[in-house]
Amino acid sequence: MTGVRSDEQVDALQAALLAVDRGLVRKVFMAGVNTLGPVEFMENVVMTVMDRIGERWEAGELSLSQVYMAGRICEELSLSVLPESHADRRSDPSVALGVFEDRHQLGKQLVHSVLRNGGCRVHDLGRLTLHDAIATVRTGTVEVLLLSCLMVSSALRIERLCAAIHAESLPVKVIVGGAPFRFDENLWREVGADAMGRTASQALTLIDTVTGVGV
Amino acid sequence: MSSTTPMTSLQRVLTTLSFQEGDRVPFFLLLTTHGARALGMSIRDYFGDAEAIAEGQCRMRERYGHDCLYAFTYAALEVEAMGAHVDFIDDGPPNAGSLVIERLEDIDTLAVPDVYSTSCLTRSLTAIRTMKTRVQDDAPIIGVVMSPFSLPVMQMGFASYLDLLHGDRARFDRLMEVNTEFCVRWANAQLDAGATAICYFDPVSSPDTIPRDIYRELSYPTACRTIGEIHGPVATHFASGRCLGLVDSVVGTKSIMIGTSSLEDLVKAKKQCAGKLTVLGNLDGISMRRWSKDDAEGEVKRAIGAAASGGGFVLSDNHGEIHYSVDESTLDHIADAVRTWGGYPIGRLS
Repeated sequence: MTGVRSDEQVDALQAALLAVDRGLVRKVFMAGVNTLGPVEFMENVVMTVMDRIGERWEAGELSLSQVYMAGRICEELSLSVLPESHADRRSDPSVALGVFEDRHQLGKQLVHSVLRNGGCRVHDLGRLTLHDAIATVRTGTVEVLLLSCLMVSSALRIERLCAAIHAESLPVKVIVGGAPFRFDENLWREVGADAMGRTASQALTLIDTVTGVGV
Repeated sequence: MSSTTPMTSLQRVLTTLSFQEGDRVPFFLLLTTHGARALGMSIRDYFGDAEAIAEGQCRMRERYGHDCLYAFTYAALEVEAMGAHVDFIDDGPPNAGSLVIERLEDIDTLAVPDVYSTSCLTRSLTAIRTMKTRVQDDAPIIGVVMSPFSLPVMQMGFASYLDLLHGDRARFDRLMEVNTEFCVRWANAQLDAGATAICYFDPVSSPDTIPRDIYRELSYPTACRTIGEIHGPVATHFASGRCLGLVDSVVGTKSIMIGTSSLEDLVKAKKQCAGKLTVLGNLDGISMRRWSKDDAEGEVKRAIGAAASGGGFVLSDNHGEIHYSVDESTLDHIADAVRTWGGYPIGRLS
């Protein structure tokens, strides 16, 4: 750590992101990286901003497109200072994410941005069928699987995946997210998931929670 | 209203649209795939058969006694008309299975489908004609369009569309031009076939999805132009998205009804819309899967208590489509509760 986060950095980055002012975002971002170092800046400043934006979306103060654009702009900058394969990216636990039995990719992309912006290495599995997902968890290479879906039918089908995981005692935790789970707060338990994220920005905290270790 | 003669569904709906109380609260069970189950058909076969769609709608209305026939088949219908593949599943609504805009350049050559020669659309028109023959003027037939502003989520994917909104304005304008022309033609074809009104689904315009300044700049003018050219009454529906804060704008589009989210306070929605828009909503169609008889009755009473007095209200789910996983017995409980508690004037709900 080469410096400390300031509220001014957080406020400046948030304001620039919500204005979708790419030039200003880059200026604030790079100044922060130079002061704190990339990992410290991403973990403490970028993630704080993402948390705030996520909370304001949850409260109905911001829109999904603002969450998406903020994540996307930060993601581009994060990858420029800390590429996906960089040794400083944390890879424990092994995290993968995908869109489950669905073609709506936006939620997955939001979570992917959050994880990248938080300094994690994450395996993007793209679109997963139930068969794909079961095959993936059987490899034993994924400790936390994050699944996004928009359609109710897709959300309900996660129950079959979780049943297979439990039946075979596979060492993987499943975190779900997407509109059906936001509207029905008991649905994630009903399908047997280990946790549910109401916003993409909760992903890192939930990974901590379900694994009982820091990421 | 003290008449002892029951109104027809159409009279009941027209009465509430004029902000008056009819004989009871009108309710729309916006059912699609349940029609397949009612006829013992697969969802794919059902949606491929216009006569079955009409028969399914009529049978469901006979069973539940709700106040409309719903001509909506599936959300991907319009992109299917533009060339997209549709994925059918056994236990839920079909989904768009491919994109019609893979690259931004595809927008430049995107064409408006002919609504009278594209088979998936003509099938829906045939279903509407059959429904009209069956129901005459007893109940409204609700046609459906996806708004020009929201259709691109299925045409090109959500993220690509959000990038377009913040990037290539010329191509956005071209896409709106094509989609608006298609939407108007498709809506008017449904009205010509016998639909009474059009539900204009516009989930992307909800403040949950885009900021209000983008709505005012990009979506609102599109909605005004489109709805202005539709030759019949239009309800704007945000498909579970919140609408409070957009009420005056929706009034400005000449819509007469607005769909409100289960995430919103129905009392506030009714107050904001009073005398301007009829409120449609807002039973939660997802948790509805687990509702007991008491749950169903409680939710119906909550909604009626919040919004029914004075008319200007139609009880419905909040999404514009009740999922296949909701059991028919739950729909019976909802219908029973409306008949028990929804008579005007609304009395004590206990």
